[in-house]
Amino acid sequence: MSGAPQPFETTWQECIELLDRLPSMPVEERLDAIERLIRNPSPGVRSRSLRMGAAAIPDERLKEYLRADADDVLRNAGLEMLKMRGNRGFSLTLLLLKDDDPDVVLQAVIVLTHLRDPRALEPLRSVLHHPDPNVVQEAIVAIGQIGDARAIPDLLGFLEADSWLQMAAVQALGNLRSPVAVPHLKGLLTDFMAGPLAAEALARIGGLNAFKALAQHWLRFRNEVDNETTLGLLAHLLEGLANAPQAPDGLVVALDELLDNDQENIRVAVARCLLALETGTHDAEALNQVASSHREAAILPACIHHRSDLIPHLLAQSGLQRAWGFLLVARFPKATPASAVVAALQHSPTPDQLGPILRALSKVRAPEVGSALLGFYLRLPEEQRTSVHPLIKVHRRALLDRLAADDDIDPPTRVVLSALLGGSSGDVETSLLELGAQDRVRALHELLELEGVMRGLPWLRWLEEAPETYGAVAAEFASRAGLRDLAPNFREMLKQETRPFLIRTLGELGDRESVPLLIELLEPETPFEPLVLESLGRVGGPEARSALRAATSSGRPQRERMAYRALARCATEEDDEIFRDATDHSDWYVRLSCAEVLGRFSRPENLAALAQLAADPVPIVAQRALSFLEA
Amino acid sequence: MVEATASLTLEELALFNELLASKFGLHFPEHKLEILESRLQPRLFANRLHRFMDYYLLLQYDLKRELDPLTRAITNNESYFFRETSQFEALDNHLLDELSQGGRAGKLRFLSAGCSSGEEPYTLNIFLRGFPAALGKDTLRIDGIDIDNQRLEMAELAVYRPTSLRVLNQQQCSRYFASRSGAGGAGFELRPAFRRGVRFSRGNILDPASYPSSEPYDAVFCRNVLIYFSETGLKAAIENFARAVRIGGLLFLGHSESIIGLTKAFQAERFGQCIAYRRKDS
Repeated sequence: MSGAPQPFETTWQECIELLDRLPSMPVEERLDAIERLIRNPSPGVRSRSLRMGAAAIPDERLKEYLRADADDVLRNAGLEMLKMRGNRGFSLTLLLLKDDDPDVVLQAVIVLTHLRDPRALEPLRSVLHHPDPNVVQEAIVAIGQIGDARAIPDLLGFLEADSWLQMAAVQALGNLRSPVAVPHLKGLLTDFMAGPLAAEALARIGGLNAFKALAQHWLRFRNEVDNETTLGLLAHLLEGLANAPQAPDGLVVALDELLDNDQENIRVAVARCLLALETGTHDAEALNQVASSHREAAILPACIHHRSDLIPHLLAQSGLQRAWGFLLVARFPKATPASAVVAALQHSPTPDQLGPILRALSKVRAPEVGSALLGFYLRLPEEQRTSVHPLIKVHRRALLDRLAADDDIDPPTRVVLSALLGGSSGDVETSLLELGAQDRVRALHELLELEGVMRGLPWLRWLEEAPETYGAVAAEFASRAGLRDLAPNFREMLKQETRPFLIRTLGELGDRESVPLLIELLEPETPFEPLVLESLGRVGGPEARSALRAATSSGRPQRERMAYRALARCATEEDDEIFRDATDHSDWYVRLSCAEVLGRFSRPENLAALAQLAADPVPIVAQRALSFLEA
Repeated sequence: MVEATASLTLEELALFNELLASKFGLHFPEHKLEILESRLQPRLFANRLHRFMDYYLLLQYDLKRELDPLTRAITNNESYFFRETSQFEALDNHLLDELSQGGRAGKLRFLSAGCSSGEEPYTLNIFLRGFPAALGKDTLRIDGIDIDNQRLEMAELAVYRPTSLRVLNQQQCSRYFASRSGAGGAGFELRPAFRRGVRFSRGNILDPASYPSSEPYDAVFCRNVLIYFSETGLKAAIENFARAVRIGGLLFLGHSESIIGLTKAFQAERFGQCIAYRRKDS
């Protein structure tokens, strides 16, 4: 450690460049650079250097950081690095709990708060008797974070202690979530200092008694307490109950009065409470309030989790609320009036409604819903139709009836539906062959999942007769089903015209005979170069590897990074030297490929290179290398 | 053989982050992996791809064609009228007068960077037109830029869903908007008086050449946009804003956004309840 160095890299750019150079620096120089970089005001530079420090700085030096009384930045950096080490730093942290310096003990407790490792419970309980109150306060918090209810008796004693310890104990009891603590916390609700924390703790613990305690407290002091916070906590408590409770006298009336409050957060909290209480009062207005703050269509607001009675109302709305209606249908399929679902299906879905609709229709089996499903399916854009396929089997009977009765369905759609409804391979094949080429391709794209039917089709003939028409769909199916028989046709097509789907498919098929053709595509420079390199990597083999090795030293940065990645996919032990030599490459993606390959072939020289990568400033590279080292 | 659908891996997340940061300045941290995955998934379907890596490779050779749908997929367009109004409120008679004196005589010019469907520039316009004494004979121009063409079309149409008006009271709604009903449900059209002086064009915060004017602005608003940016993107954006704002002009960011320590071109100043950044004389 070299005193308290000041950063000499004056610009952000210089710092970033230094960070990029760190992996290739000698150890001592690297540690000095880290000590400078952790002082940089940029959060990005600081966090990257801390991460490197966490991996690279030896224990003894880290302890010195933690003792650096005169240098707060260094001491905090030591703390952050120890946290970043996670469980790898656990043993060192336990040792520090016994340190003579209370500041060091405090920092060790802070790290244990962060780690939440149950093994720390007993050591932390012993620290509850430490002479330094700051240490005791943090130990109480740490015990709460570990979440072991056996510590409750230890904590209850602190409810009578000095304010700071009392507040820490209230917080910890909330985190432990034990109903045993409810009566004790209820008694503290009126306390000027601990009251707000006790309310939060009650909300965390949850349950009927906690709700009653907080509701009664709010009713009594609603003109004095912070309504936004307390009502938010009350709503949280109500949403966590399995059933709507009996509301204490006067609660609903008092809530109603605030539904048109000037503050949006209060209106929303009141709305959540009213909906969760299942009062039926102002449901529509309350739902509008919740919809104004809760933007996620795929997640049902917790306050209406139990409100199956709201299904018809919600399904009749638009946007977010209709999506919630469908989510409720999925929860309560038997409580759902089929007519409401049928009516809601008449509207074309917005993209975020599709998921909830699919979940609902997989649960509701009524025939009229199955029949409405057909219209819904037909209104969907073609690329979204496959998402409805699983439902077609669920509503098979109703759809078959509807299909027989409806003459307006176009031929390719009829073929697709017949196939999905279980038509025999022979019938489907015959129907497909009766379609015109364009309609056939449309149907084929939607039927690729039916591998049994698809395999029996005359792909080879189609490709020979009309490669332009069938090329893309045949390639997609060949990739899915591993149909290597078609590779010669794709190679021929690729000779005629460079098409991305052909390059991709030949890679997927692992077609070694296409390697010369793919290599040829690399010169002159082509926009498809990354795709070609990727496919060469998927194919592998000596010829592809040789081409990829050459591409890693092409001098063209984009080509080199993709070549390293592709080579990493198919590398053998013969290639690991090339990756060892690249561990200080300036491109993080190349270094990531190095970690992949060196981790795969564990020999001593590779492990040394991996250790260097474990201290890489780019987190994903460091994590990948570390995971191999730990394994 | 490929699986029907694949998940976005951490490696792919890092690659997309690198690409999105260079093109748009955007960054999705690891805990938002699923959000990026769900936003990109429809693009995989549309291009008949099964892996995110294949989509990444497609962007390497066909970015031009895919740029618009990618932009729509990854940008957060959440906005509403009268959001975080303390900064607009700070633009009182005094400050407007000061901005007007310091810039080009007779012209006040503002830029709303990342304007989405126009809620921010229109709100600014509504506020500024509430100070006729300060504006005097000055002409007021507000340029809104965004990378999403569809959002810009909506901004020009100026018809909004009720959620965009969620913090307005009834009186404000009827004063600034005329209600419309149509097949898509209820809509509110901003009255022409509050649209006057606001212009929209496609522009990328990271590409100063795409800004609608090379003349410096009196103030730039870029609120709740930079929180989605990588540090490199943030740095580049601030450098561009430093070039776009005149000396003595102001930069307004969202309440949770700060550029302290990132640039020497701006100096933080407090105006009432909010902080803005004053362009320093370099």
